[in-house]
Amino acid sequence: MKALVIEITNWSTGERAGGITLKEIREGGLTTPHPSHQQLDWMPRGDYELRVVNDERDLDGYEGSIELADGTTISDPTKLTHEDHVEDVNGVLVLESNSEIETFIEAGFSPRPVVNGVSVQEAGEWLEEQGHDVPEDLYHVFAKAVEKGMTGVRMEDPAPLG
Amino acid sequence: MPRLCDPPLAPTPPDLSIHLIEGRRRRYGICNIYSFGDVIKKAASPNSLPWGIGGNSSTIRHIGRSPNEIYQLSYQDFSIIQKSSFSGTDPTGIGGDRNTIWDCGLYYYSGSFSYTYLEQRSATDFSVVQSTTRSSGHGYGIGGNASSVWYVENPPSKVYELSSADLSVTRSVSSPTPSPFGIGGDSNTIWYIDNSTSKVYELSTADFSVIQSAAGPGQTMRGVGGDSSTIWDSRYDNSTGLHEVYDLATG
Repeated sequence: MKALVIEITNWSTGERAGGITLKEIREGGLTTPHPSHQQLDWMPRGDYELRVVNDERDLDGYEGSIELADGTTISDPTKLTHEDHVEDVNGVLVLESNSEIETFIEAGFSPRPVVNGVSVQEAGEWLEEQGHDVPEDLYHVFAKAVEKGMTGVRMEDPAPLG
Repeated sequence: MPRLCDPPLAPTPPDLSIHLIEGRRRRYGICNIYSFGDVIKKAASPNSLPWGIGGNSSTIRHIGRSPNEIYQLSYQDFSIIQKSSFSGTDPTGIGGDRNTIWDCGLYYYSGSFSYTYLEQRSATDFSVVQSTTRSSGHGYGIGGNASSVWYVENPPSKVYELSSADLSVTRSVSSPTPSPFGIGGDSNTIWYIDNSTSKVYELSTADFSVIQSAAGPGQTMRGVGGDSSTIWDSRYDNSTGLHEVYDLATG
């Protein structure tokens, strides 16, 4: 299996790096294995996604780089390890094997808040009632509510490659 | 100034008054005067507690709880074309196309959630054509067209494709955002809203991933629907009592 790691340059237009078009995505030429394999604009890292290549496209022209939390930048995804923490992606990178895809999933995506009937407003009010500061953004409100023991919300790791 | 598509599909109309501009954009090929999610027009909902909205570019179906009513609205000015009392309890979602209506709602017994009902209704008189229930989650949105049915539950936060034949589950996946509150579209398009991010999304029909997203018209969006060229949206703000319906740009 081969996949692309794609920078989303504008969520409002759906524009992606590397000239990848919305038509290609809408028609299923590139698909995400699981919704947790997208770093969305309300999540803490950069805007990027992993999409499996389902068509016969030429993969040679794609170029990109990965910014890691320790400040280093790599352009060869085979150099990525499970211990790395991806902060952002620029351009488009090609993952050539299941092993490379699994490594990127582990290093590249944040746990997502999964709520069970709890709104972000309720999570914020609960934090206030408990005497905690309320973070400004949705992601960290939920994350802090989980950390402080609120019921009805939990963090879920990205799904492994199925 | 609006710009013409290259090449233009037809001559520019002489009058571009704002309330007709989107329809003419579609008809005459004037493109990209709006970005995805921009408000093209809006009006007060005929219901003071609006929930679901859907349909296609020439048909709007809408549902609300105060009073419990189902509507067909004019796509031009959101005025009521047809309305009826709605027999279901706590309706949440509605969608479909000109000849098909899908709806869902919640049933509580002694104050506790019991099940979600899913229905197909007659586009003529709103009577129930088929119905089923699901006890696995709270259904907050349903839409699509005659052959495709999209559905969201929250909790658990999941997106579904249902069979149009019997409303059974064809496929499902975790939703891309924490709190889905509405879904609609057609066989090739999914519009989706999330109450926690206050955004409107286009999802892929292939894998339910996010294709594009934009800030919605304020918080507390309650429903979304439409087709590939149209997004209908409804909103109810508990703190202000604001109850509105919107025509949003597809980008």
